[in-house]
Amino acid sequence: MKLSLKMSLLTIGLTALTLLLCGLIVLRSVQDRTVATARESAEAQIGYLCEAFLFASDWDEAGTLSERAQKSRLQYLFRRLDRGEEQHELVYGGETLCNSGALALDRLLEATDERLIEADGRYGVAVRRTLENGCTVYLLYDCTAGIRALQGLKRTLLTVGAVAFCGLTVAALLLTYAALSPLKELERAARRMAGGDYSTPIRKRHSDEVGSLAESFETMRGAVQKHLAELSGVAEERKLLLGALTHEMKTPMTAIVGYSEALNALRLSEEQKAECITYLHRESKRLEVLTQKMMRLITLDGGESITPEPIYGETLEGILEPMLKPIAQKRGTEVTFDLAGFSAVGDSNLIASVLSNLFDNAASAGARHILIAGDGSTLSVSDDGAGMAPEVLARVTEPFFRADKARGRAGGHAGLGLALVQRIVDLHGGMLSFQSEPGKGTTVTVRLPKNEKERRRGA
Amino acid sequence: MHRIFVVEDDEAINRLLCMNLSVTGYATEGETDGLKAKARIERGERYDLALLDVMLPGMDGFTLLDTFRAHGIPVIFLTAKNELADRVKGLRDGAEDYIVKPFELLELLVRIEKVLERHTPTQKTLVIGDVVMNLESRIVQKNGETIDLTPTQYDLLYLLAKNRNVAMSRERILAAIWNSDFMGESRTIDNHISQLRKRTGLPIVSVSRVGYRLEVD
Repeated sequence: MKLSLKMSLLTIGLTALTLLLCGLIVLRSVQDRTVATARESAEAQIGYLCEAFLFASDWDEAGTLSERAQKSRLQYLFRRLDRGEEQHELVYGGETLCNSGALALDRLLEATDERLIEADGRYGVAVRRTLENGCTVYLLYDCTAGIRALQGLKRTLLTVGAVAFCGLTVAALLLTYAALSPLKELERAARRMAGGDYSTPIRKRHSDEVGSLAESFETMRGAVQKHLAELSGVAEERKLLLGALTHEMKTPMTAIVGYSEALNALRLSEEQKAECITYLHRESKRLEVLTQKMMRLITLDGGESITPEPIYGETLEGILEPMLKPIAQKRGTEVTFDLAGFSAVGDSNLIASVLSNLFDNAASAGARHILIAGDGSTLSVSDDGAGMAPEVLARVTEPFFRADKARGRAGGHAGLGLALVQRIVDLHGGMLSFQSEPGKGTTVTVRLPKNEKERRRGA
Repeated sequence: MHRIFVVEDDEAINRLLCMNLSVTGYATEGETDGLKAKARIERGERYDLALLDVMLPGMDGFTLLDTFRAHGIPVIFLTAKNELADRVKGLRDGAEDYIVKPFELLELLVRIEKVLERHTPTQKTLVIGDVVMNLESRIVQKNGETIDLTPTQYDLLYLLAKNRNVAMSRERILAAIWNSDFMGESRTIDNHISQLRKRTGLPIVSVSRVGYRLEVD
């Protein structure tokens, strides 16, 4: 059963019961009063009657009369007293001597204790008095008017009660429905959410408890929706990354499987065998670089925090120079460091790897000269290489994006370098920006936080 | 000797395919760029078959297909993409077949052979050194003299000759000749091989841990 129906029925039931009880009590007390008044009057009347009768029949020689004469005398006396207003009855020696009405009052009073007597649509209260001369006098006091008024009152009460009950029923149903309909709306909202729809907002329409419940619901819905979006965003990103990784691994894997199969099953010349081994090594290396960078990216992605420490230009130069100079020499590039004025807060190894990745890219772009500079808390790597078009620039930090597919792969680049750089800079709460022009070269700028306070704010 | 044009952008895989195919008796040419491949065909280079990568720098494989078809060169697509949509597109556009990377050499060889059989007049004989197999009459001759071979030995020789210089595993030989439901000992194969060696005098070498290989220069 629905709550609204339950509440309505309970209200209606209780009210009806109260009304009924009140009505009954009122009616009862009015009736009692009416009967009591009638009874008092009857007692008074019978009192006068008896007194008068006794006075009239007080005769010393009554005993001398025959039974029959005595009865006639009593009958005569009693009749003289009758003024025709009430019914009187005189019983003497078990015989009704006189009765002014149609009812046998003696028998009625013997049969029942009830004093209120109804006959032919009239009501009366009967009383009895036994006299010392052996007579019993009965009197019926008519109270029809009082009882009729009572019955009228009963009917009025019933009509008014029935009308009030109907009105109350309708009002209770309407009121509870109205009070509970916001709950229904909330229920529908909960059902929608259970079905996976977190996007429909819940409006607050009332300022009562239900309204504040709706408000809490809306807060919850917003929070769930936000979390869900975040989660699915992360999952989507992971999925894309994983898909790209599998795709990237397929080619070197095909080559490795193929060359090892060739070595195993084919009749090859010595040069061909040597070629197989060279390619096996190269492709394995490619996979190694790929997995290393991928691991790095995933660990950084996992929300691992950095240990911030002051970084100085000299420290970076100390890490980078022995690492980059030989590579630059091999590639016929010149690399210059100008890091003396640099200081910031962060992880010096990660920042060094940012710079070495940027250096790698610059060298791959065919730069003759690469400048790694630092001033204040800003680092930059400038080259005079091929440069990039704006549409390429927009995508360079996507994992596995390569400006030049063929050259990138042959050089052992997985297309993860700038994705990694972007992550590291993000972790530091810094900013990464590119200025590039095709044919002229590229400058990559990394702005890092100056001190711990700035880092916290940025991150 | 059939000429095969390998168009694949990854140098390692391109070289691998060329090496594999030349060892098994095909003449090969490699190309890593789509546009250059197109230019080479239009310059008049002729091939019996092309292996074409779908994702190519310059011009993708699906676009290149038209050029190859215009010059009557059948195409087998190679790609790392194994989505069904690509496969359907490739075949509907008129490629002969489609092979998904990473693939097995023997599978590729079977597909190449099937495509070549459809497009070049059927070979009537197969020459291995001084041994000639007549594929119609199933008669094998060495220096003009007929060699007596059982049907199983003939099939075995044919399998090894088709995959010359490739080591065939015992499982593969069993599968190819006895349709794999033969659960006999692989020693049976050894017996047949030694019979073949004795009767044909061909260099069928056993490759340790792999199987047998018919070596032809």
